[in-house]
Amino acid sequence: MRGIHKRFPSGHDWLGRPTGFVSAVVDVDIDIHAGETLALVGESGSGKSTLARLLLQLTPVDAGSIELDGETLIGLRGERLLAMRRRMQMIFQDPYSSLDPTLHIRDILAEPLRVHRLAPIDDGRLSGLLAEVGLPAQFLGRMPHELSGGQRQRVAIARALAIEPDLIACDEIVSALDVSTRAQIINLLRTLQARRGLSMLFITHDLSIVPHVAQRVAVIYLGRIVEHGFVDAIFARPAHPYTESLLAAVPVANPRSGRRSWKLVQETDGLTETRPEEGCVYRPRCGIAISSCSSEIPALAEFDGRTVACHAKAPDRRTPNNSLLQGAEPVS
Amino acid sequence: MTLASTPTLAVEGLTILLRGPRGAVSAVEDVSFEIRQGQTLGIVGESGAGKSLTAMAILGLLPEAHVHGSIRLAGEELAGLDSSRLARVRGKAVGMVFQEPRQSFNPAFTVGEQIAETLRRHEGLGRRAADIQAVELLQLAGIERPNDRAGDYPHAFSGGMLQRAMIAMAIACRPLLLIADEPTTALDVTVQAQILALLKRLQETIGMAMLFVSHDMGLIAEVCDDVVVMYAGQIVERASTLDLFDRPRHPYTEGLLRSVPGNVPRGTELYGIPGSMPVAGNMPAGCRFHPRCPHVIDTCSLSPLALESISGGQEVRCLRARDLSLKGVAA
Repeated sequence: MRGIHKRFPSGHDWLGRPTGFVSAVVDVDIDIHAGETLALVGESGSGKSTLARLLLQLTPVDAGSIELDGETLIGLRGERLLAMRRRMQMIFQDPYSSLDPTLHIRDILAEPLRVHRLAPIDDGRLSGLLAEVGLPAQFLGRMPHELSGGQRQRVAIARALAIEPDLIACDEIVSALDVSTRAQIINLLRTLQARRGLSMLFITHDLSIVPHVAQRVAVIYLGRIVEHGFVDAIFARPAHPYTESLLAAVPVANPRSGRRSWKLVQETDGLTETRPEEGCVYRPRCGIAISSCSSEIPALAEFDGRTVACHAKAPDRRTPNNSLLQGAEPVS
Repeated sequence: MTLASTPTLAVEGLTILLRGPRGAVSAVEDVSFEIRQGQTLGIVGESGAGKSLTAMAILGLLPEAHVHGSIRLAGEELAGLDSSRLARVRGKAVGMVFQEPRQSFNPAFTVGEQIAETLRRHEGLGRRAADIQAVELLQLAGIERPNDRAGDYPHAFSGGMLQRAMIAMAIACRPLLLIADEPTTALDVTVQAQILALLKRLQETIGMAMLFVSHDMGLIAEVCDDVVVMYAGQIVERASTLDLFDRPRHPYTEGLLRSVPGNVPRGTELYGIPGSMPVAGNMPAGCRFHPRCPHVIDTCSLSPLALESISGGQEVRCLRARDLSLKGVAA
């Protein structure tokens, strides 16, 4: 994904014409390699889910390009869009609302095969899918309400796998689950990825699981990527002050560590209501802002083995090359 | 401990019966614990363990016929109180904060009105005095421009801000006990840390006891003095937080600690306790955890086990508690 922009109307006049816009995603570049998982982390409202929906063409982009194996996805229609969609699937957070309650598991799994006209649809193939996610074949005859949250999420994964996609976007898929179930689902994803060579976009607000699912991580704040690189480097030495505050807020299950997330927290953490019109969007929450932060939007720059958008931490000496885009940016 | 230290909350032999298709089944069985002034007790376990039911019974939110045992608040017995007395005690002496603040507020009234209503009902304040105090409470809970925000409806608040307002309402009558049931589960991590900081600060100011219900061992480690671990409706282990994390005595506790992602090396598989929690009415014989236990032996399924004191106030419900050496969290 290159230079992705998306804004939504923030109000309407009496004719239904938008009166203002709010930028959900601003100038985002993302690469996901074959067999790799990229984690997308940030607070609610940061644009994580929007980005996933843009990637899958569930929502049209305003600007930018999306390519899958070198082939553009934007502007595709009909058969060609369907063909590209076959290669990408999405799994959602709430397995209670993402499975049709009136269908048997058999029909839930068969539906994507029917839509994409992939034969044969027989119980052998469907129970093979269930086996792959660790469920017995008897589940084909069950209804969603007979299943636990973890079992439903396994069905959702099996449905996503049914059409053998290359890429799966997982949107907070373990957030509603208990610790044991969460571990089982994450380990299942690891196994499936290794076996099928899947690429994954893994969206989560739970930073503690990121090192167990992803190789790379992109930290997103108010629609912009502020830090992007390998999980090991970023978790060991966060560079952007936002990444730092996110990691500091993760509770540590060791009472003797003396560390308490609630003692490290800043007054300003969690404030997303103030969105400055100029300069760095993180500035109102930032403890290390310098003068240029209030005038110029920091661009992503190489720093300590990753890219960071921060004037104070990783000064970008180039002339901002996205000034054109900044000029074109909608003001809410 | 001196005589003066009557526990703020003393729960004894709490049993909760739920009606099932084949008669009544016990969803919570013989639960006992105490919390003293200024202390925080954690109840930890996975969904279905009976944590929230226990909290609801203390709040008197369950039909009386289903709740057995003794619940004493500062020495006063709550069990058997008629519903109007109970409503008075509940609103005034016990504050409550739930996971979903949006479901706890009435969307048709402003946040300020709802807090003022609590003050008028339980403190007998007049309309003006209640309105003024509601604004002060919002400010105490860290809400900016409390004067303006008091006039806003719940939908105008973000999740974190509404949880602050919920806390403001919970502490309005300076309760002896605050029950927080998964108060941060729906929130972002940064907001979670702020809510914890707020709860801790208010606890110190008011000196209230806190019952903190959570499934997250990280939160338990960071906020609780003592912990009760529940599994399938029973307490399986009780200890001070330090003892529990240093040296868990029940295999379920050990499993919960191993399940914490931060306790597993980066880039490796997570640990999950195999299987799932049994449901009321269909409990395994003997130790309820034995079908999932990595340390199970033949005798575990023979007969129900009692919660037994093992050392220095640590109690455990496990046949093998004395011969197992379970793994805690290294400092």
